[in-house]
Amino acid sequence: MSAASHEVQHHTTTGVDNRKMLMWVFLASECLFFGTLISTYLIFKGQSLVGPLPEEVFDIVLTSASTFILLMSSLSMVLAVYAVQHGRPTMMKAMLLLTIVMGLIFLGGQVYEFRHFNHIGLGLGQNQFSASFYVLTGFHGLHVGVGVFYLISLLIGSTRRNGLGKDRALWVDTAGLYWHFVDIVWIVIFTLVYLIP
Amino acid sequence: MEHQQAAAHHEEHPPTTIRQYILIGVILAIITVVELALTEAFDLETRTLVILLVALSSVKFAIVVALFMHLRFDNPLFWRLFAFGLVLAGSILVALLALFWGDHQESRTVAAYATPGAVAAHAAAGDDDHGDEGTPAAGGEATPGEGGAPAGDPAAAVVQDMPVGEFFQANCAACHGADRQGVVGPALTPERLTEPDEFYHDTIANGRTGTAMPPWSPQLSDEDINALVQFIKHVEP
Repeated sequence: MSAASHEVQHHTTTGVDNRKMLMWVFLASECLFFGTLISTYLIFKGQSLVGPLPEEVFDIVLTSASTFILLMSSLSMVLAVYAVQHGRPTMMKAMLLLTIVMGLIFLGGQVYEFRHFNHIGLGLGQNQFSASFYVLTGFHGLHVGVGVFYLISLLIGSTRRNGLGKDRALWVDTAGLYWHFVDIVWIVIFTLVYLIP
Repeated sequence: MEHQQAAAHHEEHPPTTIRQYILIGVILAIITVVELALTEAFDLETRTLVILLVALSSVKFAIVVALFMHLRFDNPLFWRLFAFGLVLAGSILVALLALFWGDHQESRTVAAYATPGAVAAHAAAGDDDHGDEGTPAAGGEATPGEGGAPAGDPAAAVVQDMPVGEFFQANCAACHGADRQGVVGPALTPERLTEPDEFYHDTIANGRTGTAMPPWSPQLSDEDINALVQFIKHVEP
């Protein structure tokens, strides 16, 4: 791509960087992963033999707040990518940190939600709704957690002497793709699981 | 924030400015608020609501993919890859829903839960469950045309010329356990069964597709099924 790049850019037959290609292939496969989990949830949620049922336990206001925070973390993530692409390391670090913090708040909300559900008698094995719900949102939460570690590793990398400059923007760019994907999965989950009656 | 000389640059990054990114973020937030308002504040028909919500979240999805993940400006190869995954996932969703959706639509949602009367009965039955076991009739009163709940002691009812407890041991215990604590099937004890009577009546009568629970309506009358429901809901094992 760019001639000014300090990092060795291998020539590839596709004309795109292999790392970015890898991330997109991975995300395409993740669509199937979450697609099946969401389908399972939609089919199973109405087949519960015992309560508590979704409409009795969901706290839409709390979930909307954490949805909003995850959405805004996508904004700070894209600004981190912008900053690294425009050679503004301080802004990049600040935005990465902000994204990490918002990711952690989202996870905190999920931990609270799970504990609350468990407290009112909705364990993992309580009914088909709870089993498919915990597996779906739990795997999403796991992805957010992995994303948080991913971004922390970038942040640590950026503090090193020849850290994340403009020439290595692709590392932040690919991390951003992952983070945004986790966000769009939540957009779907929020609508299909929480909002639709 | 001064403007970068983006135009002079080689196409190394998308042309979006900070201001535009923030604007996109605000638009995404507004759409989320609208979704929430549609669900909470307006009394829309379920069908309309579902269509609106799916449309709005699709818009959000598309905005993030196109502008935050830069697919609009990036190599079309990425777009094709991602679309491939999405289309496959969508097909799986459609296929699975087509195969299994009907199950609970018919048996559970419509029969037991969709009517306001059933929800009210649920609340009444819920209050009734705690404390006394001797008055199941209150829980069953909202069951018009189903024979009503048997009066008196639910443990003394007779199903197919058998005391209900004996019938349970002969026909249900293999899956639900002799002590009703659940084996293959779920536990059937008063504290676990918190749904309205209609729900369990429906389960026993029509079975539960996708599970080992068979339909009993060919063998059992409405009265028999009612007796079983009262038995599992009100008699401690």
